[in-house]
Amino acid sequence: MTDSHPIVRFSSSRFGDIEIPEDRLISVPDGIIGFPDFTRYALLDPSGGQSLFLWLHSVDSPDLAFIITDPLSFVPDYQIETSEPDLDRLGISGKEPPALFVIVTVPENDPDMISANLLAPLLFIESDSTLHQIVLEKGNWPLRYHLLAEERCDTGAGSAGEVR
Amino acid sequence: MLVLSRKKDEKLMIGEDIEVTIVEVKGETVKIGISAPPEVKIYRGELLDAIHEAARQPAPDLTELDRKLRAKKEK
Repeated sequence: MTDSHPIVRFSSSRFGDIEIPEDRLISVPDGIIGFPDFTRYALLDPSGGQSLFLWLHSVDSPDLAFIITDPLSFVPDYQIETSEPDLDRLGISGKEPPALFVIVTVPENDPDMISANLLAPLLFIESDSTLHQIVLEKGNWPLRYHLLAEERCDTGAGSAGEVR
Repeated sequence: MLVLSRKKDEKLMIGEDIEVTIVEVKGETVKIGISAPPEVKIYRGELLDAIHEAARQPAPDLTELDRKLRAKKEK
């Protein structure tokens, strides 16, 4: 790597010690839902570009990491509707359209029931390495969309509906 | 846990500035309206549960899942 940026070192309970250039840190200003205190992450690709999945790994907590994927490779009609005030609030209006990721869960005892959280996607602004998680209140996107199983959604997964 | 009974259109306050209103009661479903300052985050419990579950998972065998998912796509 010809990068002259300082190196950030952190440890991962899953992957051991990791080093990345500081400019590749990802800022998550509000944190991931349920983990508001952790705002610095790194994108890891242990497969070296071979996998559909990446890891969004906290730099400040060795245990805290999420498997993420591009939802459009599974759900081509996946759309997020964000209003201008939403984009303003996130500070991303006027920037390039964000790249979309969703969090994936792989049940330990039944990996084929792998599911993606389409209800609360991640918006990644590459130009300033910032990521925001939003909750889609419209569109009825499921909390657990099964990527492999024939039955796509849990029944009773709960519809979105208006929160506020 | 504090348990209160409320009727439709009745409210309760959490602190000074969070107002919870029972909007509708229909069968097993209760519709609740919440007015709160923007910095108060409001999420369904199952969303938090799901994200905590995702964060706790050990590193699964993604190679095998990649293979199955690609095979499924090509079908």
